Amino acid sequence: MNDEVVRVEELTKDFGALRALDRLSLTIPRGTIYGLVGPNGSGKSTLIKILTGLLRPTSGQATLFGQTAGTISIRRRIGYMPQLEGLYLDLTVEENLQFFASVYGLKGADQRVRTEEALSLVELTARRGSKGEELSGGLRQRLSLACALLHRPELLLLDEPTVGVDPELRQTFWEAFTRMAGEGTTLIISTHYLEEASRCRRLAMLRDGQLLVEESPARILESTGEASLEEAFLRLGKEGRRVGLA
Amino acid sequence: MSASLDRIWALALRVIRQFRRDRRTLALLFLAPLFVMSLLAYMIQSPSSSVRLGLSLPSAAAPLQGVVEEALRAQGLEVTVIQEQDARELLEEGKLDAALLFPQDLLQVLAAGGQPKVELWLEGSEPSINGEVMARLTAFLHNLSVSSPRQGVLPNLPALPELVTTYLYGGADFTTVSYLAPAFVSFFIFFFVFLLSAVSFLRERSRGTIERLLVSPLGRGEIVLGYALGFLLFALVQSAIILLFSIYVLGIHYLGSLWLVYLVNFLVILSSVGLGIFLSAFARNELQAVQFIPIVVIPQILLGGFFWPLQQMAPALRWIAQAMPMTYAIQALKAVMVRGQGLAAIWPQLLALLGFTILFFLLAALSVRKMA
Ligand SMILES: Nc1ncnc2c1ncn2[C@@H]1O[C@H](COP(=O)(O)OP(=O)(O)O)[C@@H](O)[C@H]1O
Ligand SMILES: [Mg+2]
Repeated sequence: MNDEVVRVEELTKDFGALRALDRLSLTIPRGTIYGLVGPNGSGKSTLIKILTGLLRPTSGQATLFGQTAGTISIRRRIGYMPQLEGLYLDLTVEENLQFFASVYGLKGADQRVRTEEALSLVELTARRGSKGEELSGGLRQRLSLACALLHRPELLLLDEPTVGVDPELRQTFWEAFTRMAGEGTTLIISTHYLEEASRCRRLAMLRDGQLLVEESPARILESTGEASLEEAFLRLGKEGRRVGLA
Repeated sequence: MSASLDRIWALALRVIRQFRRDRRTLALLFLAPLFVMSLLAYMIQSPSSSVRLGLSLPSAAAPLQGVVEEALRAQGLEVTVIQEQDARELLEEGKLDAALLFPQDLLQVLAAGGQPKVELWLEGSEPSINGEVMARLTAFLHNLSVSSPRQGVLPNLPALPELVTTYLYGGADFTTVSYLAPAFVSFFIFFFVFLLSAVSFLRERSRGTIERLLVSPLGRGEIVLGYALGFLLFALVQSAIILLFSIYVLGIHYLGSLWLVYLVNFLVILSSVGLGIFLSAFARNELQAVQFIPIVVIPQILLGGFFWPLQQMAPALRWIAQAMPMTYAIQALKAVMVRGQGLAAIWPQLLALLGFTILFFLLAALSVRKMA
């Protein structure tokens, strides 16, 4: 129980007549890299936003650390990288980091150390003085990730963190994710790159707000008998099958 | 040539399509001018009949009282008979706009064929009322003269009585700019702080940084306060510049404490940030934020006491004016800068501004939620 970071029960979200999430249930234990995969519009961002407290569920429940999502007392424990870049383009790379560090209460030497750490993780140390608006899409994506993990949260919610990031750096990112998970950080990562989904401990495959499957990548391949997650996803989508629900 | 026309037409179509889908912009384009123009027309038509004049005649001239009163009323003045010694107090308390004091020796002077000196005291802080009073009294005096058909009111009046004008506040030193400066100070602050906070908050939404802020430990109230604080700095500097410019460059005449001016501006800034954030929740882009100007800003210019004092407005307009923060800011700043009054005189206005600030902050904090 103590090991359970996220619990989602019968979670439903409607936007007017559109059902963006349909009675989703899942639990995520500590130290897991949990992948949310599915095509555009399948509800990945909606689920992440409900977990951050940005959106309220229509029905059902989402709890983090045993408390309702969005509760002020747990906010310090989560880090969020929005799908929109969410950066101040008129500030420099370093100023963005400093601003978010201060928002999370990091000061003085602490703030400097974390800022350096984050800069070197996303390989932006040399661009620290560049303004946000001078950065290319890929560089902004890197800065955005750095802003999310600066305060070393226990739970990281990353909405498509590797979009626009070149393959080499994507590799670096995933190594960092794996290392953080090893240190006990829980990561929820949405992606539509199925090849990187195989690096997740568990995967939730979404389509039209429904959970198609929730399993480890290996078990998904095994149960569908497909050679790749891509094919497995297509097959599950066609069958509209719902398996692996706890 | 025709390829160029095609491109132009395509562009025109795109623009037409865009606006056809944007009902708000359409409404603004078509309705806002009507709104502002009706407001203006209504104001110009509104009878500014509420000039309150105190009249004092010497007791020896009691038989003339009725006729004089009637002649004044014929000029649309609201006449109250007063004692000469009460005049100052009644003006200071704002119960009268002006007092017309006939001299004790009126009858003797008239009998001797001399020119009586009539004293006019003006409250003085509203130039438009001053002008109104002067215009109506000139007509009244003219009617008293021998050449007029009303001869017999003051028989054998050899010449127009001499009008000796005293301003309680303001007066000769006070140019129109001096009267307008207090209103300008608060208006510019309101306008810029409102617009900039609305636009920057919109940017916060469109860039997605608001999502990061809402997920962070920052509470909604803190977000609003943080914004207010940020704008406070710039707006206080701005108001200092406007004030210094008015005093040293425009050479306006002012009385009273600059600290009180700052206190009023402080509240204007806070309420404007709150209003800006709150209303930015109802705009989807920067253009739509700018569209709030004719709805929120212009009525406050027209009704806030910028040009016309509250008491000269039709009751319906006065009621609207009393629901706007600018009205109280301008009242308070006029009291301090033109009349040199202190905290004791302006605390009701400060209280009203504080009320608006609290209200707008609450609305802003509530609206921040729906911005994700
Ligand atoms: N604020 C919103 N209002 C209305 N519909 C929305 C809103 N946010 C998302 N949707 C809709 O909900 C569905 C799921 O969207 P989203 O969670 O963003 O999908 P994904 O992140 O998987 O691409 C989509 O059909 C999207 O159009
Ligand atoms: Mg998404």
